[in-house]
Amino acid sequence: MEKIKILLVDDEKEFVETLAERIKMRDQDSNVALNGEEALKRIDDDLPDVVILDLKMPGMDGMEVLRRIRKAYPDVQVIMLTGHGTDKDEEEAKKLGAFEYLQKPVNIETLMKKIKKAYKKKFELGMSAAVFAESGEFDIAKDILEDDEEKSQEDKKKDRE
Amino acid sequence: MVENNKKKFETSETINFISKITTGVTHEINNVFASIKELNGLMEDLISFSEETNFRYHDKCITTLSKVKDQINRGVDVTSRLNKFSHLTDKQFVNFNLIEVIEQLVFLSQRFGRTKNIQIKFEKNNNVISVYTTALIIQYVIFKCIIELIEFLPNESQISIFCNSYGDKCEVTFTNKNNNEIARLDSIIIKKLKEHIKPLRSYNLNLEVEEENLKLVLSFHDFKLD
Repeated sequence: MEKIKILLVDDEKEFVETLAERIKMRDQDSNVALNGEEALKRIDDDLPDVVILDLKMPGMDGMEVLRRIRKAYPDVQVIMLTGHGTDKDEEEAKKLGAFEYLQKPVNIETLMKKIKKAYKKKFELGMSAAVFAESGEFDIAKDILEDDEEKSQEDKKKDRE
Repeated sequence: MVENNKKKFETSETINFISKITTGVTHEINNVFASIKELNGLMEDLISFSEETNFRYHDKCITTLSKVKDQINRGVDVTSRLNKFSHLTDKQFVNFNLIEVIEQLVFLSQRFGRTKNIQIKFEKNNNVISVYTTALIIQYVIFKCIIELIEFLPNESQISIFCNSYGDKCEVTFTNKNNNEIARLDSIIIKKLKEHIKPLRSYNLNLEVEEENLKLVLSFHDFKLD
C-alpha cells in the first residue's frame, strides 16, 4: 500500500519529532520542518500529500504558510494543529482552505483518521481534475493538471540530474 | 474626575497586562503538555508494538502510562480554560455565550471549595444566551458570589448554579445544600454581596434572594436567545 507523505511543521522540536516518529510507526511517511520558511522549501523539494501545520511560529506564521501552500499547491491538504487558537483563527484558517483545525495535544488515532480523510480528499481532487480536464469543460481543472504535469516533469528532470 | 479616569485606566491596563501574561504562559504550558503527551504516547506505542510482551512490569508500565496520560489531559483542560478566560479581556465589550462563560468560571472556581469539601456544580442546559457586554464583570460578580458562599456554608455543602433567561433578563441562581437540606443564607452574607455589586450598577446587575436561593439578575438590552 502506498504511504501518505506527511510534512509536520512546528517550532516545538521535541513535540514534532516525537509525533513524526509515532506516525512512522503507523506505516506512513513523515517529515519535519521547524519553521514556515523551512516548510515551504521542503514542500518545493518534495511535495507532501498532507501538511500538519502549527499556527504560532517564529518568523512566518502558520496562517501565511497556509496561504502560500493553498496558492501554489491547491491539492495539498493542510491540517492546522495549534495550542490555543481562537475561534477567529479557526474561521480564518477554514476560509483560507484548511482541511481541518485541531487543538494540541491531539489523540494520535484521531489525527491519523483526519490525515487519511485529508489524503482521500487530495486523491479525489486529483481524480476529478483529471476527468474534468479530459472533458475540456473546466479550465481551472486543466490548469491544475497541467501544473501537476509540469511539476512532475521538473521532478523527473531533477531526478535525472 | 481626572483622578477617577486615571484609576480606571490603571485598572484596565493592569487587567490587560495580567491577561496577556496568562494567555502567553498558558499557551507555553500547553506546548509542554503536548510534548509530554507525545513522549508518553511514544512509550505506549513502543510497548504495544513490541513483540516481547512477557517482561515483568509490562502491565504496570501500561497502567502507569495511562495514568500519566490522564494527568496530562487534566492539566490541558485547566490551562485551556484559563487561556479562554484570559482571552475574555482582549476587548472591553465582547459577544459571548453566557452559559459557556459561567461553565468555564465554575470549573476554575472549583478548587476554592475543595478545602472545605464543598462541591460546586454548574447545571448546564443547551441554551445559548448570547450577550454583548464586559464578560469579566459578569465573571467577577459570579466569582464573588461563589467565594462568599464557600466562606459562609458549612463543610461538605453543595452549590449548584444554573442559568435561565426570560425576555431581556437573565437569572443566575445559586442553590445551596448541606446534608440535602437547603442552607439558609443570613443577612450578613447578602449585605456583603450587595456591597460587591453596588459599584457595578451600570452593568444592570441586581442581587435577589428567593426561597433561600441567591439569585443574580442580569438585565441586558441586547441579548438574544438562539
